[in-house]
Amino acid sequence: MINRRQFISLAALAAAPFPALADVIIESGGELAGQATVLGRLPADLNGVFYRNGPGRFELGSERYQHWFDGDGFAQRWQIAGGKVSHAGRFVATQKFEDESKAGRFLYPAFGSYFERKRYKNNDSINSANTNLLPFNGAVYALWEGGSATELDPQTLATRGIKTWRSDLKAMPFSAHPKMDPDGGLWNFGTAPGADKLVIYRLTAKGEVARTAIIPVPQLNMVHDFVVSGPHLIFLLAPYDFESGPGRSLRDCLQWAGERRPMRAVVIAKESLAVRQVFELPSRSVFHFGNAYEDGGCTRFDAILYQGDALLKTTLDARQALRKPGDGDGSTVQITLDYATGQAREARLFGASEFPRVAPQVVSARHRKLLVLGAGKHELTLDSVNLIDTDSGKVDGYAFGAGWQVEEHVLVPRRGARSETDGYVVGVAQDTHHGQTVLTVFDAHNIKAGPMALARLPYRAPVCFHGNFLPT
Amino acid sequence: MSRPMFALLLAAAAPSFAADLTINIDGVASADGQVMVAVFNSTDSFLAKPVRAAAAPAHEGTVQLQVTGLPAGDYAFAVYHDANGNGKLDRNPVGMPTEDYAFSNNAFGKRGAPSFEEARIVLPADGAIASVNLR
Repeated sequence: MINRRQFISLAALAAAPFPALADVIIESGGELAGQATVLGRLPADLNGVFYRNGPGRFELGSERYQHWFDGDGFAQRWQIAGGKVSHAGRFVATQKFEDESKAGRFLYPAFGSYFERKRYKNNDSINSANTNLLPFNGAVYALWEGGSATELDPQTLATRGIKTWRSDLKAMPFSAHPKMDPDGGLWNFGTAPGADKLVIYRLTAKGEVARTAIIPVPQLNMVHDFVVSGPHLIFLLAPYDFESGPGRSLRDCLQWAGERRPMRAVVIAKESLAVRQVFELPSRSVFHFGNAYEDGGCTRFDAILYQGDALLKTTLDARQALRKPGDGDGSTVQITLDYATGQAREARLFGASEFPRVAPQVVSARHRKLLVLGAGKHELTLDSVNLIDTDSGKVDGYAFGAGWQVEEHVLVPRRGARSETDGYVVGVAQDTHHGQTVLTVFDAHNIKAGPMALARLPYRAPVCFHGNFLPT
Repeated sequence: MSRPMFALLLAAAAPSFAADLTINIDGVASADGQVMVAVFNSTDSFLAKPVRAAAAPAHEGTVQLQVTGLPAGDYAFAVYHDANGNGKLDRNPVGMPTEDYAFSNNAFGKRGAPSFEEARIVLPADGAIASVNLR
């Protein structure tokens, strides 16, 4: 039974898994590979690779990063084929990772931890490639948000190098949350800290730059994700000021200004790549979105909103994160932007939650189902998988219970799926009691029945942020 | 050959006040365009007013450039690979260079070019060889 009025926030998520996460890395030695033991029934029509990425290294030379976003990218692939599940993972060989490994200590600034023992050429010199892993155009891309994508071999995950989509766009910020288009291409954006410029990319399915634009937007700070409807690109801009200074990490430059400024919703028209309208909402912060669609003269979309500065909740300083549990809980909200009245309305869909996803076939179209992880009432971590009907508000959910840390789950449609629930929900969870990382498979039509199959690794793998399933 | 003897031979071939700066540019990515060098002799003129400029056709690997007849003294230089041959260092829309570049000493600045002091090299009367890497 899922309690929809929970008051434990993502704060808990950051605080709880860190010690375990550090253990994993120190033992991993840089590469992981293994066969999972499958319990339950793996569907015969579920075959493919689940590509995932997250921060894998938090400690070097007896120093420790202070923010969950700082660790170096550790790319992972879970292959589901013929009823068997295998796993492999390795660090993305970024310049930063290679230089720091050689030096035996941190050299460059990370998002929330400041080091500058070595000067560097540009943002790609400090690119940690740690946020998402996107199969696209025959390759996979380890994504960060402050610089280029890093191309990896889809079989071995060996690093091929920085990806420059077009020579004049070298080293441009390319966010970790591109949105796939029905034609196989994608939309993405980028922001450079303090530059107040929003970069828009439209790539074709072949990875060619079809369109790009630079849109000036004042006070454009901390934009992690966006959402796309048929005709619009929608951004929520939380009220952060950018105050740089010597010895400050990027996180330290982002000063919460929620007492002084509202949150803004900026709507860009795809046709013109210009701002169509800006809406004001009560000040909150945000990382992630579900999906957007047009409904008459309105755009509706889902987002997970936090009271106050959500970056406090992803810090690895447990005292800071836990100081006020319940203060600043994230909740899943449907926002409606009404162009005629200029008003933004909100409807609450779910309590403390994170990692929203929708089925791939409904991205930028009308959706009715939103998948989120929920944070349990008594557990200081995300521990449940929930499919929300965004029209009725009904929730089909399953809680893993004590000792589990649940990571992002994705919807995997059956071939020729006739609805958003005609398929599976695939994800990963950490069984901390047994020290095992587990692939989970649910019937998207019946989450509350629990996993159809669990594929247990004989080891713990680093916690991931985001990933994508590539069917085969 | 001993170093004093070498210097003596050089001295015989050039006016005594003129020193030659040999610049080895490693890590040239392709044979497209030219490798461009600008040499500066003071903090005030750094990146604004070069005392000398030179260019050489690019080829993959190491390109060598000679800047001859400089007075002995302190210098700093900037190098870039003008791969598209448009005569300028191209930048992306947020101002980051999109063509390979380097400064003497392989110096980097903080979010920008280094200072003259950070890139400063000493050119003695008998000349010097300085290497930079474009990668």
